[in-house]
Amino acid sequence: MLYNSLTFGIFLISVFFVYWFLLRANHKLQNYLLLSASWFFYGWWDWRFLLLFVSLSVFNYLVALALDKAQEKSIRKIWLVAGIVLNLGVLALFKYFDFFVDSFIDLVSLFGYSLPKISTSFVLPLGISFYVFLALSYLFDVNKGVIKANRNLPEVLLALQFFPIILAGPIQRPSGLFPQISAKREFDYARVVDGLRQILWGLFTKVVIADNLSSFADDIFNNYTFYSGSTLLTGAIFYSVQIYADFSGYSNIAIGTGKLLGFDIVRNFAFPYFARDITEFWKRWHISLTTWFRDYLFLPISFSVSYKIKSERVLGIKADLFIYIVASTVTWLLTGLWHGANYTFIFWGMLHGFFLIIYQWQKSPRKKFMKKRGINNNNKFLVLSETLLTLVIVLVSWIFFRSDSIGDAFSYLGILLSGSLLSLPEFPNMKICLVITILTVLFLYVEWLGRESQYAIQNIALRFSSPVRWSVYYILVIVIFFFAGLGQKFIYFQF
Amino acid sequence: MRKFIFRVLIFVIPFILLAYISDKTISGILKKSNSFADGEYPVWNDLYNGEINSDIVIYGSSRALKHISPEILYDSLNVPAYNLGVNGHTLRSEYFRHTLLMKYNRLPRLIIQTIDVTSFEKISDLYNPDQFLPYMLNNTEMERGIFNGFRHIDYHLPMIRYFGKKEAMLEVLKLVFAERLNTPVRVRGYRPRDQEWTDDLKSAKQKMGLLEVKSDSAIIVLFEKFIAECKEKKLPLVLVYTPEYIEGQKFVSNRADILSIYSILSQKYDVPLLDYSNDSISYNRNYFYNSGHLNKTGAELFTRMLIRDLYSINLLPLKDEGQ
Repeated sequence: MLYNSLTFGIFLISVFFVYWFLLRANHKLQNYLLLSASWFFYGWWDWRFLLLFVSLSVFNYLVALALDKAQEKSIRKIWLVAGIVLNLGVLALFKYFDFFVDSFIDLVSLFGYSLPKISTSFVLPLGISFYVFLALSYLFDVNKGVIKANRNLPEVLLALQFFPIILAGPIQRPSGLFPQISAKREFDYARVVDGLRQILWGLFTKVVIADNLSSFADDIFNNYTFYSGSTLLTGAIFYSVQIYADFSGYSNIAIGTGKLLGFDIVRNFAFPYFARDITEFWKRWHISLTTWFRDYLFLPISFSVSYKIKSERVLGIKADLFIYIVASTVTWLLTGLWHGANYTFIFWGMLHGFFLIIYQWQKSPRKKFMKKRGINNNNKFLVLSETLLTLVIVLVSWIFFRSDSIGDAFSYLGILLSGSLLSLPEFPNMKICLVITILTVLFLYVEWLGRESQYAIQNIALRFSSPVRWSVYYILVIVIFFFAGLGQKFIYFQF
Repeated sequence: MRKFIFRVLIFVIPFILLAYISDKTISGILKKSNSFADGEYPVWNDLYNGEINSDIVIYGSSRALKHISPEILYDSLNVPAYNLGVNGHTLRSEYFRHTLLMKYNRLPRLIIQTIDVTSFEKISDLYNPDQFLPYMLNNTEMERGIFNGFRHIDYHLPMIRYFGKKEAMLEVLKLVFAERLNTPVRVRGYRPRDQEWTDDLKSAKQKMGLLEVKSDSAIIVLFEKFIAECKEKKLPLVLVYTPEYIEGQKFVSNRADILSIYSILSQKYDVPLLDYSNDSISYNRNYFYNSGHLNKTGAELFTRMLIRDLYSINLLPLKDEGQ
């Protein structure tokens, strides 16, 4: 049941009406409805994995209770380790087993040994990476005492399996969802309309922009050796917009769906391509994941390393930069790996880690240099050039993310930077490509105009009168209807 | 809550009310296109409007469409002819066109049915589905005739089938704002290709190896039904295996078996079969643009050869009706 399918539309409308019409007076029954709907939604994909998710959720419920109950630190540690091992174990088994085994066999073969290939050929349960991070955040927060373990099993199950976020986030931590689940929810006209508007924008972004760009980007990446440098550059730009439109579109639909049901789900994107530097980019891209890594990995590593460092410099590097390098390297290695069992993702993560370290390293000298030369930090030319530089870094990294192997990515870059970069790009269907390019430029322009709001067209209600607003909605519906790209799944479902 | 539902209804109702009118308008404009969807609309229009009006009709796939010129038939015989070849389709779709011809048009006096190794093949994908779009609404005969590629609701709910059809919408815009660009690509259904040889047989062989074409028994039965119908209506019919470049004939491993089915059916129903597989034209690459298709020069030469051979088997000159 894809978010951009008729089936999901019928499902959501049914849930919405039962939820607000029949069960409005009883929020516990509303919760049961949402839990049943979430199970139905997930079971639609594969009921066997639904059983896996329910079992894991019950396990996490029990571990959280045990963590809460345990007085001694050592016992808490045992329960926490058990929770981490089981959750990460499931993730490792389904997602990384083949990758690690193959890598080990390749490593051993370097020393002249030959081992037989072992493959599990497991199907990856949809949303497993997101689910595990949700569950772990629950256990970590209970362990730290940020929240108390919830004794209400249906509420825990709902927080871990809420259908708008179960497949690809946003990673809405249970600590933020429990208060909303346990409180009575009122029908709020403004919030519901806002949710519908966000879904509409998400659908346009996903179905019109991402899905249409994907047909060109896929063709170019799959046959890059046949294309000129200029076409490959266009392909990389198309993919960069596609992945943003795909995932931010999905997130808008998920958050909008939450609003229809009276829930506030954490924001996932904040117009990342308008970021001035790579740090800012990561504050705006997949926010729920980056904050997860920040809170549960980067900061704990930073604190742990800082306790061990006694001097001002380590290996000739300032202590704070050294700490940043260590924490960043581990965090970005794992961020890359989280995206998939492939060296391309690890390389992509490390590339971002490298640029973040470079940014951190030059921050202080840059500030001094600017002050010395009297350069205004908000100089428009400076802002524009830094934004463009950030875009180039991100674009190059997406080539590694999208390619089948690191070798392919380098070959792609090699052709891209060849003399054919100065030729005119070619596409199989120029007419459609032109129309989609125009729509994409319009899309980015609207995103720019709406960059101060949660999503691009959120403030349309404040800026325009009803007739204009409704005209915009009608145009969006008509464009979605006629210009939908067909049959494309969400990119982040594979993670 | 009431306010919300009221506003949602107000928003949605215009779409429902306008769906039927929009469907009729878009379909009406699209039907005027000469080149969209492989230039099939003029042919469908002629079929539905009873404007085929020909004594000789040609059925078949792209190898009919590009191989037999109705103009040369007309110039040589002084009788109107029409090429109903449909690109990328097999006998099932060809038969559907036959049923429309029988229903909405005057009867022809000769049917030239071209045959291929793939004619009996069951194809899972519907090739060039956009050619059906403007004719589908509440068209149950098309729903039965075009057996795959669309859902039931596509035939019965207005506009649904246009979802995601951006090329069709751009064509509508072109027809509204730049009608002068609407140039015909087919003449009485015929669409020759004025092109020299392009195929790379060596790499194709390496890529694909030998193909085995599976014949579907239900389509063979349908073909027999078609022949029987022609017999019953006393419509002269000839089966023609049009030229195929000799090297290309080696691609299909069971080619001989498939051709033997045609021979058996030809004898069983006493329908003449003309096979040009070994004709000199099939040995000359200059007449082809790829192994399966003649170029314009080849097609013109072949049409003249066909006329000569139809004379030799007494299908020409055409018999008067009732004779």
